[in-house]
Amino acid sequence: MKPAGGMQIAHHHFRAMGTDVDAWLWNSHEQRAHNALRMVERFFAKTEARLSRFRADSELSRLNRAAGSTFMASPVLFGLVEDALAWRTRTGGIFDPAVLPALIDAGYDRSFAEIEAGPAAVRSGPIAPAHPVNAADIRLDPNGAIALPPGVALDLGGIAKGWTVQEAVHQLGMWGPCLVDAGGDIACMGRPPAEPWVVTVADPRDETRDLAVLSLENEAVATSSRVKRQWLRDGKAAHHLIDPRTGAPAVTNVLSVTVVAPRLPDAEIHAKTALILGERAGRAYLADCPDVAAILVMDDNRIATSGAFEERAYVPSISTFIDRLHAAG
Amino acid sequence: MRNENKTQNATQKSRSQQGRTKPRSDAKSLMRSLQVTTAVGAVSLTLAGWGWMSQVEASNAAQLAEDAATKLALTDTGMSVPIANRAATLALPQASTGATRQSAPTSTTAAPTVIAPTPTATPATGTASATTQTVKLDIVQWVKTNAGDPVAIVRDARGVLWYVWGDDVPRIEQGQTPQYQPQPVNARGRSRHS
Repeated sequence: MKPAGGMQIAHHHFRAMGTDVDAWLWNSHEQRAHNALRMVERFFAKTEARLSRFRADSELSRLNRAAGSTFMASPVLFGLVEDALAWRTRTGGIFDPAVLPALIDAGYDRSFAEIEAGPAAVRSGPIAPAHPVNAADIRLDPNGAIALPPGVALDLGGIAKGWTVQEAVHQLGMWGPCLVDAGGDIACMGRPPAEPWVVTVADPRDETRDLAVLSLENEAVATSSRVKRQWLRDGKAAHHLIDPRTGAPAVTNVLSVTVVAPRLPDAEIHAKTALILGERAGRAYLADCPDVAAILVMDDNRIATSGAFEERAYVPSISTFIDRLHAAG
Repeated sequence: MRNENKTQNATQKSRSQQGRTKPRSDAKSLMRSLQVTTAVGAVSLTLAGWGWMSQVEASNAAQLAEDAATKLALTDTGMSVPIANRAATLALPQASTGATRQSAPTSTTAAPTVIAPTPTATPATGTASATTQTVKLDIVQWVKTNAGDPVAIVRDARGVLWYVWGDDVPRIEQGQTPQYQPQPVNARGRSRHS
């Protein structure tokens, strides 16, 4: 942390939502910056307590238990469910928040840390029939009430984390240029004094390598991948990305999708949708998304980009460094 | 279509880069000295002769920008520093490899469970890139390794600072592929599967 024209960068690391969170803030006042960063940690804790499906006492869990009746939701939960249903419409049902029963059927019934830690990580027993996924009959009342049909339960995982990071950046941004990285889901605001925010994209095939290097300003990056959060069920690989059309883990030739978008929840959903759709339909979907740039890695090691990704990033597997030097002209 | 063409071009480039001249032996020995240990979300690197990196990492972008007019070589510290800081890890030079330049299919993996890491290949050297332009690098600062090897801190057109292996400076300026992949100085976040 060094002064630069009165500005200095402060960093805070903590654990939340089952992952590592790092937050950086440029500010001229060290103590003020650290106070703001600690507020981010408290905000994450509060949001996790409200929206985690792994906590029986969370508001989301209470909503899910209230399926079949009406539940008065907080503005935060109501707003997220409303957003999730809007995304369901926009993605033609490829993103659907009502995947929770299917996720549990597939074996993702505890936090992933618990799945990884316990011997039950290798699940046995017959694979349950694909669970129908359909949030179409969820009713929202403008007064804040949510009515889940019987048997429907929501998982707001990615969109909730994306919203939390984006909101944290929004709050931190009052104090200066900032960036928050929650387990690889990243949002930033403003431009640091000397250079833009720089983030790397891990190669899903070898995390010690960089797939790309991005410079960001008031943007977000999310990666959706089948590499992590997978487990064995009856000797077969299962993963956490449920295809609502089948109610089962998506069968796709895309290994990972990284999306740059103006807001993190958008990036999260675009990445997940493109991965579930597979290479061809996924690229077509991304091409129709304005203000979105993406890089996809396929099972057979091919790499493809969408939007202006190559103009936005240094991709060693595709471009040369001299291209990067000329990128901004 | 454009991206498909780009991918094909990259494939051709990748193929054309394979089988070129061998890297400098000292560069090879440097890379051999890298001991990489991966832990959960963090990488610990011990770099013989690269202890200066932690010092350089401490110099933030703003300082470097202010010192843009001063081409300063840092003194040799004689230290070998194990680095467990992720940000510092990201700043470390890595060899540019044929593997990282490979965008063509190398294997067909239907099963989603096991994806083998891409093999480490010989660093590309002396390879003229498809871009024949020459460019003068905006070198903000020169630093040296403990072994006395120069590394340039270069600012690109977007203002991003990069570590560039000293011998690669003229290569890049002549439009050639660097021997080592330039690494960002101040990477803060890392997008990955989550």
